[in-house]
Amino acid sequence: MAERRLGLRARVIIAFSIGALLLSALLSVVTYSVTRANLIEASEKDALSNAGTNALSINGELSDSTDISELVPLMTSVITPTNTLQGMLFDNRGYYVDTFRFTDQDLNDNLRETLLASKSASMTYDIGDQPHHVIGLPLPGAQANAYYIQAAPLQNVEQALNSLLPTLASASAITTVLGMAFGVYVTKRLLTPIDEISHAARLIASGDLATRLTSRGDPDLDQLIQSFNGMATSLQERIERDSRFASDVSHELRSPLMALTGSVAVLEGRRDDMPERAQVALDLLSTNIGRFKVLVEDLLEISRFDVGAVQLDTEEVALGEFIRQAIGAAVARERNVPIIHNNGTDELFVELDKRRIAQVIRNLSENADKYAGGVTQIRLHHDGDDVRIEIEDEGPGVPVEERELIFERFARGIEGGRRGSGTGVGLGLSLVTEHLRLQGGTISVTNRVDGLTGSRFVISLPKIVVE
Amino acid sequence: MATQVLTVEDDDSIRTVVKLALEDEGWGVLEASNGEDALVIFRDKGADVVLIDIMLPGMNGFEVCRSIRRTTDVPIIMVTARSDTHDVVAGLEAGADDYLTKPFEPKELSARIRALLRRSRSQGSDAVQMTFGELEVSPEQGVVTLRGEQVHLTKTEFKLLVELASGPSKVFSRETLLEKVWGYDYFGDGRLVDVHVRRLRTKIEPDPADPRYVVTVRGLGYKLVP
Repeated sequence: MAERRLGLRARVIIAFSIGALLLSALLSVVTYSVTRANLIEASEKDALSNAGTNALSINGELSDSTDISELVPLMTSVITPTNTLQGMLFDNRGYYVDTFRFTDQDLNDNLRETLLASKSASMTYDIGDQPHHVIGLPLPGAQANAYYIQAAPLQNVEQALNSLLPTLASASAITTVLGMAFGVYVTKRLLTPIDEISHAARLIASGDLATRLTSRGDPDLDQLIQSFNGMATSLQERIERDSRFASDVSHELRSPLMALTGSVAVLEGRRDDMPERAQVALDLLSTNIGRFKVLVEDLLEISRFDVGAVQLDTEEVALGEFIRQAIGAAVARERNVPIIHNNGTDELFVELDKRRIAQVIRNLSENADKYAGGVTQIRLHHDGDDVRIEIEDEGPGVPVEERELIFERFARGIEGGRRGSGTGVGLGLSLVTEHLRLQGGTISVTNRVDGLTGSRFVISLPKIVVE
Repeated sequence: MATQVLTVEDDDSIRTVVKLALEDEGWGVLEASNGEDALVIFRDKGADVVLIDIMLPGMNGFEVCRSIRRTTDVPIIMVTARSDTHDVVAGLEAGADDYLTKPFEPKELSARIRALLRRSRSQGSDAVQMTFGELEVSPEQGVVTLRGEQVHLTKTEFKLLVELASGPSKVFSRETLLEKVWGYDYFGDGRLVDVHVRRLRTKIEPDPADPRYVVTVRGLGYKLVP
């Protein structure tokens, strides 16, 4: 199963977005960590100096005789009210709990040991559910091994950090979006030349062989542009060579044919002076030169299609008038082929290659003359911009199994297989197909819809209506 | 004197067969196998119609055509081996009145020549002088004046203008003009009309890009605006 791959554009944009996301995430993490460290350090410093001040004040009021019961009022009177928890530790008298809910359990063993060992401590642990920064300082005024302990919640720091998070997140999001936008911009810049190349390739494919790319002054791109233009030039030369060949062959074939046609015509002017046997020979010559001429004309026409040397030469015409002229030119003067207009086709203006479509109509008309007693009527329809021309006869019709075959080269229906008449070369309908294809049109053959015998050749010409 | 046709063609067989066919019509035929000879013969003997093959050794058919057109209005038919737009239009632009694509039937050639001769002998029958703005057309005298000054038109251009003038404001389809001016009785080549209209415009229009007299009627043809 073929793997569905993302386009270059999508991949570059995704890469840019992911890059921007990663970069901004990294920056956010670094910013967050540094800010956090700075904030904690500042708050610790703050707490330490606050605790030192408090410890000094308490120390001044203490003496060996200070009773435990006096400690609470002492502490409340001295300490500036803050949101901290306070307590004291007397190693010989046990722990004293203050009024600010700093309980015995809150006194971490680690803190107790650190204090007794090194006279001071500073550490962070959870009290209740919240992290606190706990500081212990000696109170030498009281007695040996008396300590003042103060615990400050780290909540402020956390709050500050929490408020930073959405800011960082939105900064990351914005950076990612900017990265994506940059990706779009870059791919646009990168892909513009590619778009131009594909546009140029399309133009060349549609027959505009002179299409070339202009240099962009970028050495990397210019190499591509040069090879593209080189390819276009050799393609153009090749096609022109082929079409010149077709045209040279055309000239080479037409000249002897011209001499033959002319000579036979001169002879025909003297037919009555000839012996009977010579007349028969002349008639044979004349008929076969006629066939040869049609064959050469058709072959040349079709070879022009094969080398792509054909050019559509469209002009605006009134549909009804054009069809009337075209069929009028195709059939004998005294015959009148009715043209039946449907849904306003008589007022339609269309853009078409008159010569080609007239030839299509002439060809179908000549076929009808040969095999079906001539065209009996033409119906015109249109559906929006699309036009349908239906050419009907009252002949034997085309057998179902031959309805596609007859449009192929050198294919002939069973009826046309007899060469007795000396006419009919199997290129006509394939040329019709080619002429129509050049205009984006198609042809098919069906039975007549009105129940009469005969065939109906349906020509569809899409998007030719003007306005 | 019998009508003289100068045929310029390098292929001996074709030139001979054209000569035979035209002589059967009762016309005199002058032959040239290259452009240089053709110009000399035309200068010395003149001709009523000139038939020029485009592909000639040395000086090509377009050059011969332009060269002859510089001095005279003689009807010129270009013969091309290709029906490509390029050759046909280039031939008409060089001043040809009509063209034929090889291989053509001698009957077709004589019909074309007859149409051209008709054109150069009678310049329309309605003798009245017609006026369109500053443009005056006198079919009988074969004279066209613009702001009182005579305009030099070839016979085909003149015939085309007279035809358009025969029905002021009436729309003439290319097919009608082909039939009336060039004598085509089949589905002809509109380029013949278009190139001649273009040439006519450069001679009579104040601004050929925005015609005042010979106006294109979209999808239908041309008309002469009074």
